[in-house]
Amino acid sequence: MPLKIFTSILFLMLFLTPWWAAGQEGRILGLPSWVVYVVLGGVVFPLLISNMISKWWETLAGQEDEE
Amino acid sequence: MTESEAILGTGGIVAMATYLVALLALGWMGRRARQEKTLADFYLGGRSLGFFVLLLTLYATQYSGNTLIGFSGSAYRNGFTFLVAVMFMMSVVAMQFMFAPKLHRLSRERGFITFSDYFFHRYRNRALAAVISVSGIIALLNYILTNLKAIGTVAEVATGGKVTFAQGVIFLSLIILIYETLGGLRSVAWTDVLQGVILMVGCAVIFAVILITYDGATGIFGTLKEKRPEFWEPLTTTQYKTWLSTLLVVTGGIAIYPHAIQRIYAATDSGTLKKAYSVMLFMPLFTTLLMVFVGWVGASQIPGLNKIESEGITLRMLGELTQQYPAMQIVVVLFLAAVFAAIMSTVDSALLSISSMITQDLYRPLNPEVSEERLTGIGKLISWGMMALMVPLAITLPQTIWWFIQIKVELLVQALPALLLGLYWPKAAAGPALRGFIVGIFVTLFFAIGNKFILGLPPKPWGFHGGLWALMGNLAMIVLGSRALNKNHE
Repeated sequence: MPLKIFTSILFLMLFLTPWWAAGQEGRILGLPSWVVYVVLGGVVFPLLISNMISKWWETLAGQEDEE
Repeated sequence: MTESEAILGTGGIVAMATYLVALLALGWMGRRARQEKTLADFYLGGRSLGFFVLLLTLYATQYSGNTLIGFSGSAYRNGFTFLVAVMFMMSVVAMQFMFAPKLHRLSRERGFITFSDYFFHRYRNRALAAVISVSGIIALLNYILTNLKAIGTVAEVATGGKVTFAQGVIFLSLIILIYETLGGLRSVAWTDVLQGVILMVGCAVIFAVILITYDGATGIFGTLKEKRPEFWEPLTTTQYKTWLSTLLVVTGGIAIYPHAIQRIYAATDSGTLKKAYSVMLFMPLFTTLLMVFVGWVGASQIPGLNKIESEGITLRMLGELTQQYPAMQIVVVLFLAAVFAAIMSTVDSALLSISSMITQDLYRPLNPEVSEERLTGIGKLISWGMMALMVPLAITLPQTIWWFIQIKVELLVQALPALLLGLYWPKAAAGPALRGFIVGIFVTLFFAIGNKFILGLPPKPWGFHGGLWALMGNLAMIVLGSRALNKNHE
């Protein structure tokens, strides 16, 4: 489970990176389209992570201590 | 600089003095609330921080003077690509979620005081715990140095030179030392509540004032497109690589600031910590994004500033507004209070963390018989000694050494693989973790120093920070080394 959660977080971080917008000249509301997507991503990202926290906090807390 | 150029009038100076007295009073209250003379009571507030105090101390600690000064300046220079700051401040909380739940539980069960206590508990390797501790101390000393330099500059500018740079550094360092020595983390966390509120309100008010004064978002972006058309140019491959690299390195580095880890230990219970992190996730939208926006407004209104000038863009804009509308003076006072609050809350936390690491990780193992009361006293002396060292350095060192300070997060992030693998992968072994960490540190320094002194060595090979390459090497060494070790044992 920790690996799944970690991979999910890394994937979300990857989608916060506008690699898909390189070279694009699209505009939304007069701004470069990637700026609008990134700001929207900045609203969605904490919502998703907050959901993960409420769902998996106890799972991570309860992982056996590996000595 | 003459007195007439002072940004703070008499009223402003009285307000600032009241704020500083309030910090000392909170320090005194923290001392009176002391439960026992132990390291856990002094360095972790008796592990009793409730939701409100925990949230604001996490907030005030994560957001330093850099948020108010550096972020706006970077947004001024780099345009929309500096939105990466909003993303990494959110990702920091996401990354802390990966280890905070289990680390909090272990800290309760095993009585951890410092970050390195976990590494010793997990790997049973004193050398690994010591090198992680020493690298944390060096990184935090750098952090204190930059923040002291910033606070001296702000004090001098704010008072129009009535308080010199050196006097500002010395006086404010003394205030920090007094309230910290009085009550340890309890005092620091309580002052963080005041500082966090000032910081939050300051950012919101400055954003609102600037947004309203400069014709709202539509007007601002219209002017910005005219003045800085390069912000609208398509992203290049180099830019998104730098973005990704910054996101990964800074996220990992900030997430494991030793003083942030100690707040995980200090939470009164797991549920409180969980709630605090859930709220912290959204704070970049109300702090970082606002200050980045202020930087863009600055770029649209006062173009042509160089790097150093652009760091003062918020103050410059507020200064211009005060000339037009004298009533704006109160916003300037609020901004300066927020800057002082952000810097002081960072310095006090870093200093307390350094003191705990030297006492618990380096001194205590050599003197196991010393009582906790005596150790607490030694810790306080260490805080004063560290500040006695840092203050003259902050006053005398030139700006040119700052390149070294910039790699702080690249050094800190090297402890992340050993932390995460140690928590969740039973096979992670001490030897490979130690070797991986050391290799990570050396590779980071190789690129940082090599870039300065070896001709032709790029600071970011193939567009990624040296610290990120180091992190990958570090991770590979721990995984491959631990696998090989386990295979030999089977």
